[in-house]
Amino acid sequence: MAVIGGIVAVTCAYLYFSGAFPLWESLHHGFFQSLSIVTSNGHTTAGYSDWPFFVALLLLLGSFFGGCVGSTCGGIKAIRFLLLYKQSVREIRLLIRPTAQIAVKLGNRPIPDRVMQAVWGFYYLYIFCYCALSLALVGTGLDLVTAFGTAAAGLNNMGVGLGDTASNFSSISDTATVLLTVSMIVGRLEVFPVLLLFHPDFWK
Amino acid sequence: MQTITGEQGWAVVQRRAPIRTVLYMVGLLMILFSVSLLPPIAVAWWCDGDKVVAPFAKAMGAMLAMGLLCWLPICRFKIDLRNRDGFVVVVAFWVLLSLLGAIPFMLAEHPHMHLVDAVFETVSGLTTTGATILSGLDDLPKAILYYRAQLNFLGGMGIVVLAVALLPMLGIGGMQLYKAETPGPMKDEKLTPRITETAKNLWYIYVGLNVICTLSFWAAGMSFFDAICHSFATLALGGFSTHDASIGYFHSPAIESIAGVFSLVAAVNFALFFLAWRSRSLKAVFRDAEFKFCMGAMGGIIAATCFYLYYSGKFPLWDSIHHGFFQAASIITDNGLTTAGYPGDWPFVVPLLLLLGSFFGGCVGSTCGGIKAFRFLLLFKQSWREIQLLIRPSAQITVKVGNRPMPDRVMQAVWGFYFLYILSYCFFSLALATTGVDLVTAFGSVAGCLNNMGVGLGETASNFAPLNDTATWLLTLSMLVGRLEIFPLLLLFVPRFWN
Repeated sequence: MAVIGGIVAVTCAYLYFSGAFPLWESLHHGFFQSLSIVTSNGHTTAGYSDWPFFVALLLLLGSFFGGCVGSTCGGIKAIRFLLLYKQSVREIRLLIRPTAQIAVKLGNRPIPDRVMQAVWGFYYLYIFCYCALSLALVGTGLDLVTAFGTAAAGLNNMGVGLGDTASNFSSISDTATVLLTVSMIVGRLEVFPVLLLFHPDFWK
Repeated sequence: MQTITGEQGWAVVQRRAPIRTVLYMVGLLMILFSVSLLPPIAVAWWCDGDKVVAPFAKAMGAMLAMGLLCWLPICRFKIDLRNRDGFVVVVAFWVLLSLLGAIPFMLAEHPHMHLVDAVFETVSGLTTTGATILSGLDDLPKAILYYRAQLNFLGGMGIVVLAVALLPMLGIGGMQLYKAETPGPMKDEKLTPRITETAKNLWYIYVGLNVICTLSFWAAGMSFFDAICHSFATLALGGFSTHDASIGYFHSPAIESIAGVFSLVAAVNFALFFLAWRSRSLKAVFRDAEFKFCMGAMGGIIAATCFYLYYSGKFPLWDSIHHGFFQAASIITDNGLTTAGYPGDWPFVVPLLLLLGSFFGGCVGSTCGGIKAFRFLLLFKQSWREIQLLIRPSAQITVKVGNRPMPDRVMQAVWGFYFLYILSYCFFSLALATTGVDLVTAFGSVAGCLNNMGVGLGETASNFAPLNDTATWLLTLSMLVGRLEIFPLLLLFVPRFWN
């Protein structure tokens, strides 16, 4: 919630200062739009794609964040980010005191190494899928902005693209549509189940 | 209660020394590096005349004075360098050297840059990024061009590593500095028991390769001056050229191939060269798991690039092969020399593919930038292991690299680094987007700088002059973040570090 609050506040402030909307409208448009995108909802208002570019980008990155595990959101999920963040903080503390024993804790409960490893593996594959997908989309002839935006929209189950796909996805080619369809499934099933099918051991 | 006794031990040391230790070390390093301005002065005196000598002489004076000011009052002091001090020294020294190294660019009549741009150029040189703000390189004084190449050269193996090699008296604390500056997840590995010896050997290999590369370029038709500068730029994986058109200026497949091959050579762990040289055989190199993985991945990207260039009809077959090979090798290894109008005139998929490839970098212990092959190898193996564990949840599987199981500590450090790296990339891209550049430029420039690769996209495709001052500062910072691998810089902002 704190992170989402932060992103919402930045969005509103930026909308107001960049002069896209007057104060009150900045607040309600900003609040609605950033919530909608960050939680991978995908409803839009007030010509979202006409907004200052920074906001679109911020929200796009925000959509990777998603929401809590067990909710209906998409993206990487808040708890994973929390663990990733805590792990990084731990690394820094270990650099200061190389011999200290520090466990990653979540609300007083130490997190087993197994869980941490699974989270890392997921994070790596997710970013990897995103890059591969963007690259493939550029290969089908989209420009960079559209490709990045569309890939994020598909993979995070968010549904709002950028550039050519800002209002709807009809302008892209068939290959790209198939790619995006796959990516939505990959994103929703969180990568592993799909990858598993390609592992030889699975079929033995 | 080991930590508590450790902490008390710390308190004593801290009370005794920290600021003086840092001042002592930084002062000494400054004095050492003022000497590095002698070669540009010689070049200026030889080729350009007195007017160009003056800025370099002034910079040298400033560096020397600064160094003496820090060092002289406490030169009798006995230093005791600890882990923490190592980080502070390395960061402080990089920042100071970047500022003082910018003096020649600012004072010179031509190019006469202002502070932001000059610092950007210097940091870009020292971090071996090779992003430039200057244009009209062909008309600049030879000394300035040489100075840029030399910044690449010094930054390549690491300026502090050089100092460790040159100052035997640093032997005791050298390891702390070495660890703080050298990239890679396994910093405790050294080639020889003494860190000074390790540093020296690394530099011997580095200089040796530079000589070979210079001779090859010279034989392939460059002028001797260009050959030296480009060899510095290539082996440091820096990318400062002496021409606006970079390697494309020479229109020579031979030169492109040489530059491509040496980019790949420079992306190999120098420790492997050392082993190969000691055992007089290349077996050690080809057996190394990271080397195999690295070359495999690069080979794949290079092949894809060549194929796409030909297939899309951009170049005829032969041109596709040599342009593709050189350009892909140069960008993935984060060198940043360019040819044939890259990236502006090339089909867009290729620059994007190479841009993503530039995160890959090369082997640990080489002069490349990016996340490094070794880390990707571990990430890949870990993900593979996750899949296996999903199939057989109770299996005991360890991540191994070339038969050696990886300790969990190393894995965790790699993960932490990967997360922070991606986070920094997103953060800098966003910050750059607020300064008013478009998305393509923001993503491209940050990748160019954070990975120390040096070629942007969009507005910054040929040089970084179109950006405003805020953006330039941000990119300067991102180059340092990328070169020092985030942690040393981030550490300084953790309150715990200071108590």
